[in-house]
Amino acid sequence: MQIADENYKVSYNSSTGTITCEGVMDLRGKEAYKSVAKLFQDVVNETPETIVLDIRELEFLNSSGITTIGAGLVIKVRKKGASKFVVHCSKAFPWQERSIKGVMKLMPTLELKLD
Amino acid sequence: MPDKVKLFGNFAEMDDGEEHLLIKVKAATLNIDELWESGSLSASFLSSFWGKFFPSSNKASKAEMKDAVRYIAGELVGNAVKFSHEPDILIRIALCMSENELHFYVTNSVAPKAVGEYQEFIKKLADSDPDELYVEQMEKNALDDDSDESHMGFLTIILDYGACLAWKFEEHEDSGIHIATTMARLPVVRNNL
Repeated sequence: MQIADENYKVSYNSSTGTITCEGVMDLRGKEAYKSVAKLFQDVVNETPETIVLDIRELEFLNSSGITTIGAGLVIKVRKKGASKFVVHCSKAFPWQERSIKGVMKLMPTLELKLD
Repeated sequence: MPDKVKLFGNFAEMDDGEEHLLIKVKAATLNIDELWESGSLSASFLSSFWGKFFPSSNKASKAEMKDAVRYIAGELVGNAVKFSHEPDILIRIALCMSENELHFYVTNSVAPKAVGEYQEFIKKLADSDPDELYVEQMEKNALDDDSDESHMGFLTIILDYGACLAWKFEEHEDSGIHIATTMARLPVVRNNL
């Protein structure tokens, strides 16, 4: 599964349970993130043992994107209760740790991995 | 001069005499997609500029400053684009340094019928625990896939970046025009000057 645009790419590797987001995601409103939310939902439905969200190469994400991760992925993984959830961040982009620590309020068992 | 002015939070007028960066965009000259892109480019430019010239030799604090400006300016400008109602009223984005705070000012017109709901949300922000409101809004977003408004922009600015927000609403009775200015105060710690 993959969504690619001029400025960003979201892909899913089912053998590792890893969703990778790269580039700049500054889409207009939640509506513009619908295809990304659909990919997230498909991953949740697959119920891999561990879901890894790798955002190390994601330079920027706006609040509609954070909402898509929080409401469209984290809460759905928590409600399903079948997968471990890890978010892989990079220190190169300080926003990642800030935003993911916020999202952890929705699922305290979420593991934050920081490179 | 406006006929009515309403303030929310600790609003301070911008000091035009101080050094600042200002970008003005006329909504009428662009379609909504172009306007969104111009807002995104403006936020990106402002963050590159402040990241480059922020007075610190500490690389990490420069990167943090760049990230924070990109996010806050992007969210405020994005709101301005969404709410902007009068095509001939300029969307104005300004950044200026004041003591130990970086001040953001974003001005735009607002449709008269949208003013009430906007102010209600501001009051809700002021009266709520932001952590609780964050969780409440996210849970609501998880249930309501059809709403296009996440209402997470202001909350993440406050919670993730430690910024304070304030607003000025101006009403011009003759023309029926409503103007909103959102101000964000971002605390700035200067390391290793």
